Amino acid sequence: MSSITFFHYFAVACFLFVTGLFCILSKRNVIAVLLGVELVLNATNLNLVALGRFPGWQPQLAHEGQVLALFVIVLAATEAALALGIALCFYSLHRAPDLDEAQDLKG
Amino acid sequence: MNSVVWLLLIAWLLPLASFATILLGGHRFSRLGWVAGLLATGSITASFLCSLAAAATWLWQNPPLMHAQSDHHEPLLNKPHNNLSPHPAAAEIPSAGSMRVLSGVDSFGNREGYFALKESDGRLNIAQRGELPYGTSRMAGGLPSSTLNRLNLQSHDRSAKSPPGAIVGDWYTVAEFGTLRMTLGYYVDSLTILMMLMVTLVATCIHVYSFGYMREELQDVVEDPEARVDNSAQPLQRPGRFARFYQFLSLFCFSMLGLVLANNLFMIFVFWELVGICSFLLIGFYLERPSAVRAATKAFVVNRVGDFGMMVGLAALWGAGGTLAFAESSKDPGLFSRARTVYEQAVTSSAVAQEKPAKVQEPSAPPGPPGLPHRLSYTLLVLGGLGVFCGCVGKSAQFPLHVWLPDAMEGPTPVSALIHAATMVAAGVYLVARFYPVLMPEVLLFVAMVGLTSAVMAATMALVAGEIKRVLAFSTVSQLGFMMFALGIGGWVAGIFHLLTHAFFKALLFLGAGSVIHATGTGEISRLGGLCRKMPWTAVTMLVGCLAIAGAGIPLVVGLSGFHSKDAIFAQASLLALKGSPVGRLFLALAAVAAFLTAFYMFRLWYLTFVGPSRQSHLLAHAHESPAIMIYPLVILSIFAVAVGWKIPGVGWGIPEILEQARPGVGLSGIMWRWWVLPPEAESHLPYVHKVASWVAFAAGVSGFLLATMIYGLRLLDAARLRAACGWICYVLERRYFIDELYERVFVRAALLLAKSAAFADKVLIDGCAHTLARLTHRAALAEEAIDRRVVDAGFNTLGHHLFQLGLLMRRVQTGFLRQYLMLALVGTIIIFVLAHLF
Amino acid sequence: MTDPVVAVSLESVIDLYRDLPGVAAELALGGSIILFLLLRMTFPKWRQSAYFAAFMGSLLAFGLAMGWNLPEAREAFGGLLIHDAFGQFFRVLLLGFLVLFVIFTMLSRFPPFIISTEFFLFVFSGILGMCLMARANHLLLVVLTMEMASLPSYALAGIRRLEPRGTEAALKFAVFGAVSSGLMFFGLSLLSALTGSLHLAGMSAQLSERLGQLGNHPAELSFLAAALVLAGAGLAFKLSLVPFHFWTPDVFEGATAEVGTFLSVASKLAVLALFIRLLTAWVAPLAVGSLNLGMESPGPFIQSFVTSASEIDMAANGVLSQKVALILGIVGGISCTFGNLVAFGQTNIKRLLAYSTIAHGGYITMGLAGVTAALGAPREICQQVLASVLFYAIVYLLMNLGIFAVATFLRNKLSTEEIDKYRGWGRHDPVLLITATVFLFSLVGLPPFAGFIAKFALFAALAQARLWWLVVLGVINTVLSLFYYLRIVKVLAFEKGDFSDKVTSDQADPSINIFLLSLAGMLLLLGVWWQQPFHWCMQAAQSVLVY
Repeated sequence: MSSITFFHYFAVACFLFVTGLFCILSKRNVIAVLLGVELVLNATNLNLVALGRFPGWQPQLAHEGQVLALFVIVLAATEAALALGIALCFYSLHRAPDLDEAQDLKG
Repeated sequence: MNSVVWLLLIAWLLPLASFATILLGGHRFSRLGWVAGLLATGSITASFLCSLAAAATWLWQNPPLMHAQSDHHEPLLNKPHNNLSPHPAAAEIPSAGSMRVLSGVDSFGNREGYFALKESDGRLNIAQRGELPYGTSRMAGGLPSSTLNRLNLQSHDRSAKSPPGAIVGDWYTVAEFGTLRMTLGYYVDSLTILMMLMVTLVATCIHVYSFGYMREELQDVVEDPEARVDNSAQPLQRPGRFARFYQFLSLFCFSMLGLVLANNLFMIFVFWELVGICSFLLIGFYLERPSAVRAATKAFVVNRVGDFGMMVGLAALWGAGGTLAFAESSKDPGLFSRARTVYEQAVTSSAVAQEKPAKVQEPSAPPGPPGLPHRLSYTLLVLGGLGVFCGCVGKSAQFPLHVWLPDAMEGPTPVSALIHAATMVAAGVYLVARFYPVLMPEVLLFVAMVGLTSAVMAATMALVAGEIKRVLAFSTVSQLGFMMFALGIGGWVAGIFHLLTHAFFKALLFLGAGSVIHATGTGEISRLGGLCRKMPWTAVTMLVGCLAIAGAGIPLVVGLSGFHSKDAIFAQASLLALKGSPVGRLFLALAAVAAFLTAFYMFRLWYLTFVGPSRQSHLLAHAHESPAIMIYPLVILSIFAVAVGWKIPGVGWGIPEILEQARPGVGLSGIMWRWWVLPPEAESHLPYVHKVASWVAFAAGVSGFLLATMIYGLRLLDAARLRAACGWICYVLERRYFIDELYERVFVRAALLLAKSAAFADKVLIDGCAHTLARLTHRAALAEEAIDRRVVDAGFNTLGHHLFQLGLLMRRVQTGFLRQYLMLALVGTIIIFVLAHLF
Repeated sequence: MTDPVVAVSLESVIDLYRDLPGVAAELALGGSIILFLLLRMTFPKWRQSAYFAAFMGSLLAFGLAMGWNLPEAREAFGGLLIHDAFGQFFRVLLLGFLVLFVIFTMLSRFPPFIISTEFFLFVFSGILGMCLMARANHLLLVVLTMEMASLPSYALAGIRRLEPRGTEAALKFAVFGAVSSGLMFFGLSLLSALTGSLHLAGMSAQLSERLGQLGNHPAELSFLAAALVLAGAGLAFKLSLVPFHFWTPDVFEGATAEVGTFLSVASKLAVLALFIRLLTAWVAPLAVGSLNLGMESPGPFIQSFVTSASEIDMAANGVLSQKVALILGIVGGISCTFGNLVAFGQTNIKRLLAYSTIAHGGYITMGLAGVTAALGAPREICQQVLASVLFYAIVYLLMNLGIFAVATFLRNKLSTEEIDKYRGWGRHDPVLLITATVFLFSLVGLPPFAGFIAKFALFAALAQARLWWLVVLGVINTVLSLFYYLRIVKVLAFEKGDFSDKVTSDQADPSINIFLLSLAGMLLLLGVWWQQPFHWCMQAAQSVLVY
């Protein structure tokens, strides 16, 4: 597998990252935005796991990168849960999951 | 302190206590004025008793020499009660190397004298000097021993200490500036004692007298017909001021006694001014009368003119001597000794220069605290003496500052008696007497001339005066002139003697005048007459006074007090005349003229008041004798006026002998100064001198009396025709030689002009500047405020406004759109990234 | 450096045993959290005791933190945490804040006891995360604690579920926060790829080692820059820096004032600690190593902005750190100015305080810029600069707590958050007025309050780091901030209002007054007696600046 280097994974990760950003920016639905956030986090995970695969200078990096990736997954889940919970509250009050509805606080 | 000093201190402070009590009592005394009067009278009586006790103690301790005993030689003793041996062993003198006697002519003049030089402390001191007795033969280089015997030189030491017999000390140091010490202290010698006695006694009599005279002030409401407030016909009604009268009297007594006790010029000056204040207050006692207020102001201002000269003199003396104290105390050598030293040095050097050259040491610096000048400058001494005398001229109403005394009669009569006859005006004479050792011959000549001029001038003015008190005022000026004259020609004891006797009979005369005024309501001679029937006591006592002042008595034997004192003065004047000096003869003649005039106008007064038909009959009808409380003082004073010149029976000495103790003996008799010779007073007792003096005085007095009797008593000559005959002379005399007008024109108007121009300058120039400055400042402030408001505030307001608008503008970034937020966040991130690369 | 993933051996158990006392306070916090959860499950009445439990738990944690005797700095738990004075400093601050915060909530009577357990649960969780954040030494912990600190905050913001504004605020907060965390984690992953290590010390070692080679690969430099920027995004989010500040006004306005207090003080402090650690780890090596940039001297831009001095070696060393300083300075300056300007027109007091928070975040960042600029300087200067920033943090804690407390009590008494409605209330409530004046003056930076000392120290530090333009900017901003802070005083004190319809029973509550007065008193005290606290800051600074 000599042709697949770290940078290939990195490129994919960047692609995921950008996709995620685009998703965040362009969606009006709260949940869609959260999906974008997930994408970004997954890009991170990919990076971290790729690091583990290609440790480079530090051999221990393999394990640490994967452990960090696990934690990031957990945290992403937590975050998503919480954000969804808040979105639910918001929806119950505003009758729409539209982010653009959230305009009361401004100025 | 000595018991004498204690007694005198108490005597001095008692009137002050009385003054303070009445002052603090305030309005409580307005109802109980008589209590205040009692308080004041009691305190002055107690003061008199203390003075009497002090005098007794003093005389017990230092009995004066009897007339025959004292040789009138100088130097006298350090302590008057010891080792004066009338005939010291003559053998001691020439052989003992302690003294060398020189005779010769000293550089001042052409009279002969001797000097006894004594060597002590490595210095040559003049131990004794004097005139050679007449008929002394001289030998070159020395004197025959017979002469020396006759001279009765004393061999005891004489060091430069205070005049013999004085107790000197300081009670309290007010301030100390370097070498200048301002203290309150005492200088007690027989002069002090006698003055204290006289002042307290006369004051007591007057306090008692005032109870009767000022009775109407006890009322709550007093009518004053002479005070017109607003041109209404009603006389002024004002509350009675009995207590205030006694308050001022007490203050005056305190001041006068302080002046008498003083031992340095500072204290003298303080009490000098204080006495002046009291005079002002008392002359203006009837303060609703414009004439009284004017008179009081005039008195004060004229006194002030004199005091200006006094201050110049004080400054000169302090500059010269570094001290203002009279006599030596622990801290400074005093003026007397230093003045003497200067004179002696001057004389010594000149006398010794005539002798064969001998080993003479230059006198080294006199002892004293460092910082004082070594040699007193003679010029400064003269200047100082003249200055101090200037103050005396003002206070004693001598020419040319005599103008205030006649007007001062506006005050109540007791005031005139106490202040302007007996005591305050005598303060000037007293100061000259006290200050005698510092007065140089030039000054003394000046004193004599001024005195004589005043005596004659005032006597002439008294001739035509139309009111009792005016006559007496001029008489006072004249008599004071006599005293000054006496002092000026070297008759120290004579001058002071006359001061003491004059106090009594002048006070007597004034009180009698007051009695007349009290009874008839007026003092105008033209409205009085024939009062002796209705007021016998007053008439008799006033007659006694007139006799005293005229110098009635049997020549060479005995007489009233005025006789003896005038005798003494004439004795000194005759001595001067007999020495052959033309000036002396002139002085004697003028003195005789003044004595003649004195007798004349006094008896004119008496005749016109008490004898003959009354000019306004209803006054005579209503006249009555004064109450007893006013008569008693008159009687007492008349007793003194008669007897004070006599020797005290049993002890053989009298006032002149007491005064001899205090005479500033050493130094100044025998001073020769070209044509001016100060004969030693001792020689005035020489028989032939005494004879001349007595007969001259008697002649002057008798002739005056006779002339007055002829014109006014017996009416042999018509007064009116006489007056018409010398009309213009009388006119000039009545207008008092136009001196008042002269002063008015020259001084008063100039001062007013100066004041007006100063007021103008102040109002227009200075105030104008101030107002303009204020206006400019105001305008500047307004302008600055405008700038502040328009420029600064506007600037800040604009800036703030714009910032606020900016803030509101930027607020619009927060739209509330989450997506916009996120977009902006990402954009921001990218921008930061780009920035990072840019740098 | 031990590997925590390696099979558990006896060594690691012993290590664990040795390191546990260091986290005793955090364990206490964890225990309180469990307690709250338990309390929640039982009878509703028992929920009332949540206050007491919270108070006790916070006191316990504070006591444990204070009482722990710190040996010299060492790593713990296999390198995840670092026990040093710096971390201890922040722990004490945070736990002290927790105690005060619990008292504060008891006084302000929010939360109502129904939701008290959840409230305290979230608060304690957040604090727990922040305490750990202050001592994070490994990217794992950085990530973990960032989330541990943020997620409870999102929940707290929306704890009033039935309040539309609250939920809106929470939503914005959560989404924004999620996005920022995503960015940050990506950046962290890039950094770890670059340096090949997840351990901060290792990362800094690698950076300094490879600094010389970085110059040859401009792509790597860009990579590094991108990584740093992305990592900084998350930190900027927590610190409310422009352009990541947008959530702050909305969240502060929508959430209750107590939550605003918590957010404004605690999370900022924790992130500050983390920021400094990361600066020390990543930027310091860039400061002292020698970099072959292929150019002899730095570019003109840098030279014009950063004055050189003998202490700061400008040659080839430290150029990168100067760049970072510059960017930090720009960001801080813009935040500061933005916050101050937009606060002018605010009518809601919480929103105004939100912008004030943004501004203060800007000040702190300017201070950090100074720290960064001083990284190349001798150690003492850098420590002094850092100590000034830490002192500012202490004062900031007190000031903000105070002013938010004032706002809360005003809300309680007057039932409104509009500043205009507060007119003249100062006459009826002088203690509130006085303490509000103290806090506001301190926020402005007027003597004799501690705020003046803090600002002065900060500006002095900036001057020491030769960042004059930041000093000027800071002073101008202080002047700008005068307006809106003193407007509150003016409204309270000098205007007339009608409060006849307000029940005054609240005013008689002395404990509120005592609380406010003690805070104000502490500010005054710090204003005069600042030497000892500053000394503590120096100690903390000394312990962290090891590179």
